[in-house]
Amino acid sequence: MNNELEHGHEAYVPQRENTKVGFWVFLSGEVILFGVLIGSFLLFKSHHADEFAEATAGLSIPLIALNTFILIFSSFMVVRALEALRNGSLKGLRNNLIAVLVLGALFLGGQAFEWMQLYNEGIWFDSAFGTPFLTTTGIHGSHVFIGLLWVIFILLGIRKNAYSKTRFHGVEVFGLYWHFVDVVWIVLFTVFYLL
Amino acid sequence: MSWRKWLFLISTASLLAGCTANPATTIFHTNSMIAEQKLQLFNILFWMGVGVFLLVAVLLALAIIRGRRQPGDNSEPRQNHGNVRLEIIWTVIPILLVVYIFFITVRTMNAVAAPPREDGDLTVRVIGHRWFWEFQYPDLGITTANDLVIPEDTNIHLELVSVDVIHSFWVPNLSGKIDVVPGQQNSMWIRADNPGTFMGHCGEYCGMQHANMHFNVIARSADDFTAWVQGQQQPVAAAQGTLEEEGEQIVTAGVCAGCHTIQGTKMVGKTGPDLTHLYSRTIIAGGFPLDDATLEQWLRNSDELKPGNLMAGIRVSDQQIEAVMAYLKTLR
Amino acid sequence: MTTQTETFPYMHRAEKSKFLSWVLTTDHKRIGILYLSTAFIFFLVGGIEALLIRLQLAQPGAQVLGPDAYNQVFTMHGMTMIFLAAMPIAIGFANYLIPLMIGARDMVFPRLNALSYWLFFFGGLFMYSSFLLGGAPDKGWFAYAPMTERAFSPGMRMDFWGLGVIVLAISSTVGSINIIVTILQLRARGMSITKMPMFAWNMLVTSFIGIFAFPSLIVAAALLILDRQLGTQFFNTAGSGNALLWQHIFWFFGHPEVYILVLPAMGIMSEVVPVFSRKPLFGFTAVAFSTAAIGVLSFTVWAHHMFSTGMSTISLLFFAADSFLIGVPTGVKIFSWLATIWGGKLRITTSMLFAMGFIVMFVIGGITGIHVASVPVDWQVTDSYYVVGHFHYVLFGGTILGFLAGAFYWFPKMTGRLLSERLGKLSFWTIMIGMNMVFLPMHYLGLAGMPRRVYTYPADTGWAFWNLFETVGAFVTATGFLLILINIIVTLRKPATHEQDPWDGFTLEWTTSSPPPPENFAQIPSVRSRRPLWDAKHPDMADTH
Ligand code: HEA
Ligand code: HEA
Ligand code: CUA
Ligand SMILES: [Cu+2]
Repeated sequence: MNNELEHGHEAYVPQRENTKVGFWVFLSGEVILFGVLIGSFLLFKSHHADEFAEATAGLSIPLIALNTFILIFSSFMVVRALEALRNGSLKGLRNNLIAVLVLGALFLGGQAFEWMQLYNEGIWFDSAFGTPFLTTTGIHGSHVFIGLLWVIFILLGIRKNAYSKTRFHGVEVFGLYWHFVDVVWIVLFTVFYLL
Repeated sequence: MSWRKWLFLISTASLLAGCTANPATTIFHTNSMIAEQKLQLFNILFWMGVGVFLLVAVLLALAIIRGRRQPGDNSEPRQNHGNVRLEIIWTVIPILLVVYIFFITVRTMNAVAAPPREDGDLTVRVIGHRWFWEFQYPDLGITTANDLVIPEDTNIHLELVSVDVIHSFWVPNLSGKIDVVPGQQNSMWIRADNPGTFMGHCGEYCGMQHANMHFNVIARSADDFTAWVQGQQQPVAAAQGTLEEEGEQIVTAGVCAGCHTIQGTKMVGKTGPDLTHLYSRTIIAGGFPLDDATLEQWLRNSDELKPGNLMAGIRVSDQQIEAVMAYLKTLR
Repeated sequence: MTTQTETFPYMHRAEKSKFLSWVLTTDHKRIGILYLSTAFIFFLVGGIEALLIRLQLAQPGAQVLGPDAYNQVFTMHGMTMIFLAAMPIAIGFANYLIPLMIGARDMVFPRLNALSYWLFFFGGLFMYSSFLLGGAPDKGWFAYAPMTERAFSPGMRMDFWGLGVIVLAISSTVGSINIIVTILQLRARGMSITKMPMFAWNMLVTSFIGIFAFPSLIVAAALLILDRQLGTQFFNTAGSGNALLWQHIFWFFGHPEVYILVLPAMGIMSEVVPVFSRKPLFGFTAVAFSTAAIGVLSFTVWAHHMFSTGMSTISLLFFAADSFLIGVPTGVKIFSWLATIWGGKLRITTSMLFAMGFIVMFVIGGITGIHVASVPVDWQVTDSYYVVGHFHYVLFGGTILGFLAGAFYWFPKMTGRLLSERLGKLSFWTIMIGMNMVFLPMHYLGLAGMPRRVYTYPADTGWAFWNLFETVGAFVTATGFLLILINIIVTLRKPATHEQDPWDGFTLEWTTSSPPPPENFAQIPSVRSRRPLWDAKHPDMADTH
């Protein structure tokens, strides 16, 4: 029997990482979620090849390439935000997160624009292409949106100085999420636009 | 001990069981090579299963008998944490069994695989509807419903499609199931070794009346079949007799025409079963015997017989029923 | 993070009222009990629905329910038993036991824990509210498209199904995350992953299966709702949709789900059997690996539910082969339990009886599982009562009997009171006779051509006799559960004896009081072997690992 009742010393492993571990588990589930959606997209593509070829021709790759770049760049900003916090600069944290906010909003704007384009071409949820395409990009977009709410939540937290050199786990976990959403988009971009 | 009870039950069960169900619907009374092959595979697996079960049950029983405590004995047994050799044995032996099971599975699948089409074979289009079966004979220009009539000793190639939801075509005596999937044509082959009537059922839950989506497969000798074909190929003659003519008027000019077809009249509806030779069949509406009483009940209020069927709204009035019945009886 | 600081603010506020203290609780033991009792009630409801099913099928042409009600009842029976009874019971046991078994003060995320319970609670109520609002889901528990599309399912029924399933799946996902992190992070000192109790092992694997399976279900349900409400075409075969896409997405969840249902019960087996045999679990490592193997394999067999859809021969063979293979690790478990009992000095308690019942009954279900995994056999018996027989032997003879073994085993720990053994043994035999009367003839009926999900059948099929027999059996089973219900009520009215270790157990939960204090242990013990309590009692025969 050990006499030190200090928590953390009670357990077999150190306790700092719990939330992060949990979040990794959650993300591994998200992989399946998007995997299934992408699978459905590919199945529809194989069944309606012509319609898909036609529809993808209508998409403007440059716009989406720009959008992709914006998202990647925002991921980079998250890294910098975390760095800044680790160095104890709340100001740096705030500014970089605001940048993330703006970039994320831009990305969603680009998405909205593309959906409008498709709508004007008469491609909507009831079409063979729109069904998997709009659904999947839509679900990804909602992930981005949730991420932005999370950023706002953190920004408010800064005012209540919930973060510091040593208390950076909240931001770290958000970083995980944002990078994941980013990677998912890169996959979607490749599968939906480039293939 | 539970395993004894189980044994007792299965023995009595198999005793009684053999005789309860109608032979025309079990997988045990096979009338084709396909069903026979599947039955033999099942028998092997069944007895292997019994073996595995007995092994486990007996081991457990012995362990229990050996494990009984003498009253007052509170000592603990020898602490045995495992035994690698044993563990390997009971991993390897099941693997071997599983490999064998896989082997006989493949063998059976090859044995029952569809043979190439040859002339002399018959092709039938099977169309699943909520809730009845339609059968088209493209080469013979025949369309019928609820009864699938086939010649014995002939390879029948089925092309199966659905007009609404998923159904599944199943004739236990003749073969297994193949699903009837909207937006996809499936195929299957059957062959009846002897004449007879065999029950078919819809094998996939398809909504409200999945339970009443039976059909009959009627295998006939070559001559009987040709005779049947000739009968079916006749267009219906114009009705004779005042009552019949009145009935023809009501049926062909009325609501019925919206859903049913009667060749030789102006009725070309597609939703309901083809009625051209209605009275040459054994059942109606996916499982009800074709007799005057049942048909009349159906016409008066089909919802009573088959709640939720797609004809539920339509009822033949008392004034009209006599004439309608008189006319329908001419459709032989 | 320390669990106490998270827990106590709530407990503190809650002290005011007993009711609030349960509603606001984040204590894993209370949440566990909430899970178990709610799920048990749902089980009784699902059982009553089963009795209705049996009454309707008792003789051909019976008028008890009629088609519309029957289809709602059998659908809700399946949904209830799987999503509202079996799964939550497993999560309930895990909630209550894992922190105690691994020497922790609570689950790692107590608030998330409460969240997942309340999601389950309201998800269940939501599903059942549909009965009052235009009818319950009636398309079977796997809700095959396109039958579930607007065109064939007008009204709200399938929207209730979809939304309810999403809520329940989220609840289970949250629960799984909590269990995984708790097991990975909160084990007491010295308890390496190879030293933790087998129940924790099984819950770890089960939760990982859940993490990868539930998203597929959530997507399926979400896409269905989009189809119905937004006019997307995923499963709409009248448009550009695909009927089999649904089956693939659903069964990619659906098959792993069945192991989510049985692995927790197998974990309970691996705790109960050793204690009452007075020996350690035989071949611990092999059993742990077989559990993991089942977890991996369970994702490679889903299309064995689709053998009759007209798949290519090659995929038929692939899915058949993998289905057979799963029999091997499962067998390892069965034989390991037998070897554990072998050479033991048995204490035949009610709990042990149910555990031995599990072994015998589950093997029957497993073997018929191998039968239906053999493609040509499945072509005959798929969607017939043979399959219904198969899955009741594994679900009832496996999952439920395992849970009952666990219930009799841990009830004293949870309540400080021992259930009556005499009543318990009586209920055991009643249930064994009953369940075999119901489920054994189902195999014969399937082979005799009886399709499942039929609300009635023609008399000339000759299916009547065994259906009536099964109905009788169902009521025998019900009597058995009524006895258990009485046993519980009577025992709870008795004063608590607070026996700490009534079964002379091996694992940490028996080192603390019954019921345990909020912080579980005055001191978190540190562990040297797999059976810390055994070692303490028998230093002479202490485990080496
Ligand atoms: C607890 C849940 C549970 C469990 C554990 C299992 C276990 C198995 N199941 Fe079952 N199954 C269901 C629940 C479960 N199933 C349900 C609910 C359905 C119906 C869904 C629906 O349609 O509504 C279903 C349906 C189902 C089907 C589809 C049938 C059809 O619809 O046509 C198939 C087909 O392959 C199948 C196979 C198997 C196999 C191979 C196993 C194996 O894991 C069994 C392994 C166990 C053993 C084999 C016994 C022990 C082993 C030994 C003693 C060693 C020696 C044995 C050998 C060498 C073989 N199951
Ligand atoms: C863990 C899962 C589980 C369990 C335990 C059971 C238990 C039972 N099941 Fe079922 N069952 C399923 C899971 C389960 N089932 C599933 C998944 C389906 C498929 C659904 C579908 O096709 O979509 C199914 C389908 C199914 C069918 C097929 C329906 C059909 O295809 O048409 C039948 C038919 O007999 C049946 C019967 C029974 C019976 C008699 C029991 C009995 O063992 C039940 C015994 C329990 C009780 C009887 C409860 C005791 C109640 C009391 C004591 C009441 C007293 C208390 C109060 C009044 C407060 N079940
Ligand atoms: Cu058609 Cu069931
Ligand atoms: Cu399965």
